[in-house]
Amino acid sequence: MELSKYPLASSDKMLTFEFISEGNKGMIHKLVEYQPTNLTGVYNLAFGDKNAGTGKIDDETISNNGDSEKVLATVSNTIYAFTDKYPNAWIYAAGNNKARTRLYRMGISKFHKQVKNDFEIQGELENGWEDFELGTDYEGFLFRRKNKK
Amino acid sequence: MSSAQIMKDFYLEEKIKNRNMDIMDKLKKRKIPIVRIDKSLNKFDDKVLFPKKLEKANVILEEKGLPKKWVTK
Repeated sequence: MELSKYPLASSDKMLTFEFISEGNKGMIHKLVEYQPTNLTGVYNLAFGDKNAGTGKIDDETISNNGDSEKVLATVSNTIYAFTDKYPNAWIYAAGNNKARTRLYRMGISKFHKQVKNDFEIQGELENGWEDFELGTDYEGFLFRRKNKK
Repeated sequence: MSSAQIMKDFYLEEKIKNRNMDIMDKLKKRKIPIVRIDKSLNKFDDKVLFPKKLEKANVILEEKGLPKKWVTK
């Protein structure tokens, strides 16, 4: 199944991406950032809303724009673009809260067949990591690209 | 306009429509997205836009480390 996604813009280095979510609350600018962590080569995936007027970033708001699937599909697109530029990067992703992390898991599960062809995924448990399994509740996820250039 | 010309225009329009649908279909299916470079986003690259999230990620990665399976490979 192919989900529609929003068009993406990025910085030259492809560390910051922007797209516009269009839903029942109007147009909301979204920023996706790949943040270098304290571990070399490991990046944290973070995203939130940008106030188009003030430019202020808000990562706490739940926008409820009625397009969460399309937003997640677009964010997953940035993972492809980012790892295409940085094929050896590892990406850590976790939601602000359990509900958000569960939403990420549902997104991964929905496209697991395709995702597992392109990425290795580890699921974060209380005491460490394991290969991502469908149906398991994880606290976060770690991705790395297969078939590196 | 002659009927031959009308038919010619019609087929040309159909051809263009089909080609555009083909392109849209390919774009929808491609894994690596087409990304427009927007230089105005460069200013964000050196900033931490989501500091709480980064802090949390660093704490978790320090506590749990990286998957042994990946580190030892």
